[in-house]
Amino acid sequence: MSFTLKIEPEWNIIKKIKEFINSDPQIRAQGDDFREATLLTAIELVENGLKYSEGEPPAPITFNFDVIDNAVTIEVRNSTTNEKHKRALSDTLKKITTGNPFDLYVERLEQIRDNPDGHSRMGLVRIAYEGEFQLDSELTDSDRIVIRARRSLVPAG
Amino acid sequence: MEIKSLKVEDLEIIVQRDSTTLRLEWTGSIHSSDPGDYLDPYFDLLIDTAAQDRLAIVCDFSRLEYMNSSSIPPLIHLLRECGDREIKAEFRYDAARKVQTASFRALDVIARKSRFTTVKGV
Repeated sequence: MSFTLKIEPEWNIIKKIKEFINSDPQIRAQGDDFREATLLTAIELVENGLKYSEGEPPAPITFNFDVIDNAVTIEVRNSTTNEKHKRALSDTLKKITTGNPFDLYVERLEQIRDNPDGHSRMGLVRIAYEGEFQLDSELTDSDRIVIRARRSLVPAG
Repeated sequence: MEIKSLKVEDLEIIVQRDSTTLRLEWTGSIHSSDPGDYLDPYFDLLIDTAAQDRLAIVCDFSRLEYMNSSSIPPLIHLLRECGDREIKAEFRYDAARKVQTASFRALDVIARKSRFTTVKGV
């Protein structure tokens, strides 16, 4: 008997990230809402990095998670030579950092409703709106893309 | 037509049917890179069943642990189709969870475009 499964490579990575964040005592001390927002941010950043890395299979990405200076910082590094993607990413990040995340989120939902193209392209907007993390990035002339999300911890009461 | 429960990877949708309503309870997580591959055909069958048997649809997401952003287009598709085909549909979420409330508060803007679709915190 043969048995074939299509295994998505990101699943094991995401499972490890979930386990790590769910068991981090500093994150757990912040409560379930903060923990869920941190999980969402980490997963969306990783999925974004995997989707837009070049190559088949995709080039490796680097995930970094830190809790220092009373803030959580999550960073994902990946590589792409796709200039169109880098420009789109830069435009999206500019809109998020200068606009209202809720308005951007609803605007994208309306685009999906009226002109569905099968893609979400909502990961970074979700991080800003649902996760309430601040985003910044390093998009240089090299192939490297770094996207960083940061949120302050709530001081223990 | 019969609409069955669905289990794909870490997601489970349990269906209960009574004389007026198809109730779908969502549990687990959605991490697939393209959940539309299995959700879109499932929703098409759901909509056809509801239309043929004149049933309302209730989707309860309150116990869903996580859905990735790729899950959003299929949900918008479901809301739009229910509105267009005049099928009453209600999405329910856990209003005590901040992230879920944020997601569904935005989906509510889309649901309000039709008098047949609603989003409700429970």
